[in-house]
Amino acid sequence: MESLHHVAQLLVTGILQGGILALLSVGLSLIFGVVRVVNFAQADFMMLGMYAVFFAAGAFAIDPTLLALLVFVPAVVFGALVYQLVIRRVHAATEVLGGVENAQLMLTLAVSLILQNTALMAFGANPRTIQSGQVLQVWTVAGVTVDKPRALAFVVAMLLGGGLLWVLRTGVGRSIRAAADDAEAAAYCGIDVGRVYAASFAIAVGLAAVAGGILVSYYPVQPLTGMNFLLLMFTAVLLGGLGNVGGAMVGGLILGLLQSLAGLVLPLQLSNLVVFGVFLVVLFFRPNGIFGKAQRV
Amino acid sequence: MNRTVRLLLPPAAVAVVGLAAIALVGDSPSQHTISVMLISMIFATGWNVIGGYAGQASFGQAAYFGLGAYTTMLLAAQGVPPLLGMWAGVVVAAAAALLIGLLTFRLTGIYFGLSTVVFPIILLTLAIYWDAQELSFPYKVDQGVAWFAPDVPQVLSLIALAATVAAVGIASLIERSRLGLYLHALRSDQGAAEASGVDTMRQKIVALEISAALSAVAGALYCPAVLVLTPEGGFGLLRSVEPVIYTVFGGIGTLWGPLIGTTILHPLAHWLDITVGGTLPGASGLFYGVALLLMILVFPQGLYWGVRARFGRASARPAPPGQVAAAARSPDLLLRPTPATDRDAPTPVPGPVVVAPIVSHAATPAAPPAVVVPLRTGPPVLQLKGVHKKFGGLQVLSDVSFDAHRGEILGVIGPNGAGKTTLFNILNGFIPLDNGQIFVDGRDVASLKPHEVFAAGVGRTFQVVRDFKRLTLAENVTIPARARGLSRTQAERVAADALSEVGLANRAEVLVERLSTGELRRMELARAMCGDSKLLLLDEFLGGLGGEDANLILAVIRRIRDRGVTVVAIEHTMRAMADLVDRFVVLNFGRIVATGTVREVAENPEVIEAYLGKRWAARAAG
Repeated sequence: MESLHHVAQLLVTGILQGGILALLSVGLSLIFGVVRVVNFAQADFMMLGMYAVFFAAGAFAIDPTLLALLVFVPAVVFGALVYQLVIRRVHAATEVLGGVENAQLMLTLAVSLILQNTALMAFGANPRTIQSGQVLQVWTVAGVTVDKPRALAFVVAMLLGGGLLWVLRTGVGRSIRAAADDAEAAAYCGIDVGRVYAASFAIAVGLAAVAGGILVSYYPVQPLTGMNFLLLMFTAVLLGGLGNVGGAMVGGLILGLLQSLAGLVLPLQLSNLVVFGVFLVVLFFRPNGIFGKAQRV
Repeated sequence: MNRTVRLLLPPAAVAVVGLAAIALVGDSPSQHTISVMLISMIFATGWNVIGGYAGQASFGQAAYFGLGAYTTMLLAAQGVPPLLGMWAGVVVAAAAALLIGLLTFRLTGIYFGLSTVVFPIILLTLAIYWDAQELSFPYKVDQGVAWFAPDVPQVLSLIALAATVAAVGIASLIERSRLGLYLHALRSDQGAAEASGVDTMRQKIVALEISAALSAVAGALYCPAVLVLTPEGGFGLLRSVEPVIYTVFGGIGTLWGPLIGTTILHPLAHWLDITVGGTLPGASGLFYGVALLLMILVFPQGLYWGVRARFGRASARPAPPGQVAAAARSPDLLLRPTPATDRDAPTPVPGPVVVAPIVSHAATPAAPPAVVVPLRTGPPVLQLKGVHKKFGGLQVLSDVSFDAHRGEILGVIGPNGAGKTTLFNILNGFIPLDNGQIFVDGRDVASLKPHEVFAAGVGRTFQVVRDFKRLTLAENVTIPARARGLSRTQAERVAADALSEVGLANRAEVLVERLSTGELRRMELARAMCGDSKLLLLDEFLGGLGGEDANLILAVIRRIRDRGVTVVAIEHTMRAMADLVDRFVVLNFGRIVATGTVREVAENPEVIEAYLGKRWAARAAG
């Protein structure tokens, strides 16, 4: 009975954790699916969102979850800027770097270094968390504890991720999917592919920042926090199939569960090995993800 | 002699400059900076072998660096002198590289880059778990050089310099060796390299092994330099990024690039660390990020090529790498007009076609066949039996069977999507078949890899020309000759003969970027011949060519045939094909609908309906 409780607890924790991962991964997958860029800096945009909400919560007496949602707007603007000023400008002559894909990958790596180290200079290396009223509040359902900030974060993440999926089905979404499918054909149909790329990148950055904003109410932020999430995000995206936005959501949930359940067999410090194992297995045996459909936004 | 000098010049130059710097600095604290910088140079040069020469951008080099460092450190704790332990580190890293290489090189494009990131992170997790948080280097003043004599700072610098000179020597050797040529080819076009006989998997593994060994040496020397080894210091992501930044900044894929990048960036970052690093710990990291960003946006070729292109020293190799090539391939092509290249220029008057008898056979010592089999008789050179291929639910080829004999030209025709190019891709091993058998000279080649099919005597050209960029015409053509085991001089002779046979002898030293489409088509033909093939697969060999160029190609193909080579050709220009080929195989929806001579095929109602149209039928009848 005791162990059954334990498993139930791990399942709940895993799903809740998976929700945040899902929201983070959705953006990463959108960027890959549409703009064809593997964005190494995605987790650092999340880190910036965490800091933004942390400082805003200290300055204003507003609920941190609400603040996290508000962060979306400046983050989208920031993302659009990064796209227009950096990502878009990758030189055509990048054959030396192993192709445009590799050049963009290195470029996002550079962006990641810049964001991390700027944060380090600005905010220092100390981890910080919001001392919000929710932190210690828990619900207990049939002996399984559910802490409120995680539950709230999960609900917000699911709503936003679902929202993105819904948007992709609408008129705007149709041009996004068209540009992702075949940029040239989309351009001939009158779709401004450059703007679709910028918008997709910006939205993904916005979602990462919101995810960070809701995460910071229970997870401490420091400049390198993103590194702890980067591989998790890529694994979730890979599970769902690179570029498959809906798949990334499912991938995030599965990964959260796996990571949590790994606690049953592995010591805490090694629970990430399960993640790496999944990453490698998927990469080598199901490179198109568990649904076998990559690059479908 | 000249070759040897050019081979030894770079390492010798590094040795001289390094010795001067070490002597100049003496035993001041700056000597330590020199040691650390040299270690970074070794590491960056190592990355350049796999990321630059081989074009496989690895973002996980820290795995090898860390394994070298940890092996050395753990052995030193057991009393093994680190100068000895370093070699154990090299062995461990090389073993890891073999495993990682076999796993990751199966992946292409973005999947490869992603996969490499994982391995150092796994090792990092394990290092933290096994409580290897901080390992201290045993400080043994009285043990001499084997323990790096820590009281004399020049000792570590000199050892690091020796390793740097060795690394530069290796790079110099690669640039001038067969391996370098193969790596260049596979970086430029992996498929074309395989079709030219290069075992790309093997070459990549060799490059990764060299790269891992150099990284492990750097890691081992890093221990006495910093004295304390942490998991982040050995396996951290920043460690993997470091050689990438130095190399990209200095010039990726060039011998001097990693050295230039390290020499400029390393001291600057170090200076930032000691001046503002105390108050602003991220300063050097930010500097690295900005430097990498600016280089990729402004000077993607790196300082080496960038400077050469700006202050134009007209040299043997003036092209800023890949400018022309990449512009044409950029996914961004909607947004940017493709710059006019030499390719669009009208074809210059081609050189005289020199008729060279039996080129590639004459060059091989034991070549001339004792018994001359008359053309178009004897056992078939190529034999297909019931070849089936499905892509998902689509049957691309079904029950395709035909023979081709010695000295026969067989035309494969059919409407677009009939499965012609798929057939070629199966024939030369690019894609596996689902069912059926393919024999070349009686040997089953159906399950062979492309380079093995090449070795079995099958050469091919491509629908869209696939040249090896940034190499000269002669170098492009030399690759298959070397791949079939010829020495450098033999291969060069075979290549020269082949080039004169296709009328390009006077263009041999020109970079392929500067050739017209007609010349490129002929280059591909020469390249396919250099493999000493019994069977040539020519895919749309007249694509994009006008009358003059087309006639040249047709003449060359006939001469190749006269030598006893079997030719299987895809081409849509029916008039040219009707004149050229002995027999046709007509494909439609993946099935053979007819075989036979021009006349037989042209009168076949199914062929007329599917492909030729009524006018052709009338002409053939009349």
